[in-house]
Amino acid sequence: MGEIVLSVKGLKTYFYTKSGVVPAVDGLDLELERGETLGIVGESGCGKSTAALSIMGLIPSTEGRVEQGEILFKGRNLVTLPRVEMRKIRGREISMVFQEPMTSLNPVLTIGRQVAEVFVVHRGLNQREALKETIKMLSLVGLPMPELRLREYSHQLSGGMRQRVMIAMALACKPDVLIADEPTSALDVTVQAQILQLINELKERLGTAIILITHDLGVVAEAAEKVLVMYAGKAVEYSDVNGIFDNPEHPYTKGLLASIPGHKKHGQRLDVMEGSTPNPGDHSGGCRFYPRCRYARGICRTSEPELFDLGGGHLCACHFV
Amino acid sequence: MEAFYGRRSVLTNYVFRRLLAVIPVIVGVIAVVFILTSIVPGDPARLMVGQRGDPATIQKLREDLGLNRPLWQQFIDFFKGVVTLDLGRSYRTRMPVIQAIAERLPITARLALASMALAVTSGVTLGMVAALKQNSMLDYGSMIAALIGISAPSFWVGIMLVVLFCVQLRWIPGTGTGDGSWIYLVLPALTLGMRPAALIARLTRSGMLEVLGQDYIRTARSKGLTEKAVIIGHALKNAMIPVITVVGTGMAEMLGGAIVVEKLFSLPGVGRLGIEAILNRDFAIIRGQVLFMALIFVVTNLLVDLSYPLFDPRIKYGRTWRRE
Repeated sequence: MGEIVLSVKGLKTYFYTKSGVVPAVDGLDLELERGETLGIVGESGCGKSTAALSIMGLIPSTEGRVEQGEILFKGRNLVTLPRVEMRKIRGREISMVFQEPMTSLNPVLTIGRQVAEVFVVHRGLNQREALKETIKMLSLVGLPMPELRLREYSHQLSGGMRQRVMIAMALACKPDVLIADEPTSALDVTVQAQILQLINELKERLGTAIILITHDLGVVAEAAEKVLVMYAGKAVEYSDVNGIFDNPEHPYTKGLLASIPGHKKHGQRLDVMEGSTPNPGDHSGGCRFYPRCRYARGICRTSEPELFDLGGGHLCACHFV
Repeated sequence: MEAFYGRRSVLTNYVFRRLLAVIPVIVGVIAVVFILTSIVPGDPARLMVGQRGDPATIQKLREDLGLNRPLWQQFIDFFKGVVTLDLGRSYRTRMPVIQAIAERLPITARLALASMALAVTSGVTLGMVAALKQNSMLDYGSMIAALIGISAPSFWVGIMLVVLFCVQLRWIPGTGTGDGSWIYLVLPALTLGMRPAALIARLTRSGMLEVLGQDYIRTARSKGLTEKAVIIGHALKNAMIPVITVVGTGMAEMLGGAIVVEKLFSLPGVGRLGIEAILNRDFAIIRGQVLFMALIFVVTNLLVDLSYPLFDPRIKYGRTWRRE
């Protein structure tokens, strides 16, 4: 087993809205080894992005906060870290790529300025040195004619190019951990493959560990080594990628895999999971997946299953495995 | 600059076209002003001579001023004058109209600049503070102040300021231009700048709130920037786009002459020139002043439009006149 760079224990992130408390992440555990890619999958609203923002310390303080648990990064608990210290980690040691490259880049600042800023803030370079480094970084992410791009704005780039800029920005300081939140969801299929390949290549080159958040199991199969399946704010299954795809144990994971179109022959009906993700906070003690589970029994309603090691590091939270 | 506007020829082309478009506007303004000044009751010659002037003198004066000729001939003369930059002479002082305006302009321009500088600095600061401390007492306080700033009439505010600072506290010597020092400009600039300041504060607040919720602000934070760098470096420029429009139109209004404020503080500016001309039926001055105002508006609007790309690179001037 490799060295663990990031470990999350019992993370609870709650949002406070007018209609009550929303436990978006409700007791999440995960571990990330140096240089590995962990895919986090789950439906919209299962708390994937909230978990990522919690790690980054970017939960807007007016809306919610990390209520419980710890996020250990190289021996330090990020939850209790002073803001100034957290700022030094953010963008340098842990960085993030967001889903929508169009809106994630500032429309009124040049690409050069936005990437160079990272070098100025974290490495104390002056403007000229920072721009030099920016050109290197932009060519590393495969942006053609990087010198010209410096003076361009995000609206002058294509979607794939914008995401490359975002990746350049995130990897500028060679972080230990990169969190990629749906990095390919807003892109064309051909561009998706290129971006995934780029992320994989850079991971090899820089030794960065990656948390890849997605709802697309295809992306996970292609890029991840370990997979964490999330449901309603908690992890329900965790394994290496083969374990998840070959021997899914949790009924939810099985359901997800069965609803991938590629698994069926042409003309056959696609399996669907009945119901929809519960609203966070509706949960009342039992298994969170119980209302939608076809194997559910009495115990599922009353007692919440914990993650259980099935051997070989394959964890699953279900009473019947 | 090229980086902002694209190829330079495109920009030159655009400016040229916009300037060409000024011509029909000016022709329209000339026609309207001429018609209006011709149909208002009151004979300038009689007014100048006084009620007891004898008919012969009045007749002579009318001939001198060209008032006895048919209206259409007067219009053509006036039009020719405008084209050759000769707006005629004041009926009263016989001073060339252009000179009369030029003499008054520096005071108005100084007042306008001072007011706008005040409005932008206070408005942007107030709006930003309100947005950053949303729903706090600071926010409510700023916005109530802005509401008062927009609603309170300038003649009232001006008088109150004079009463407070000149009469009660005696911090400022008085109205007028005095020895020309800047201290005389403080109260008029405050009075005149209050409305645009309030408007800018509200626009900055709403713009800032919208921008702070954008994804790119989250990106900026994820890079480990300080909150100050996020707000000044990433948010402010985006929030300023609607503010420029207010600054532009406000500036045009002020340069055209702030009639109430100039009157209130006895400043001999363009606005007062206009109001005096109206009272005296000095049609030459009225026409000149209105024309001047129209020109200022058109030019300021053009400048505002040209400044947009400096703030928002997505705006470019192409072949069409519309912003793409």
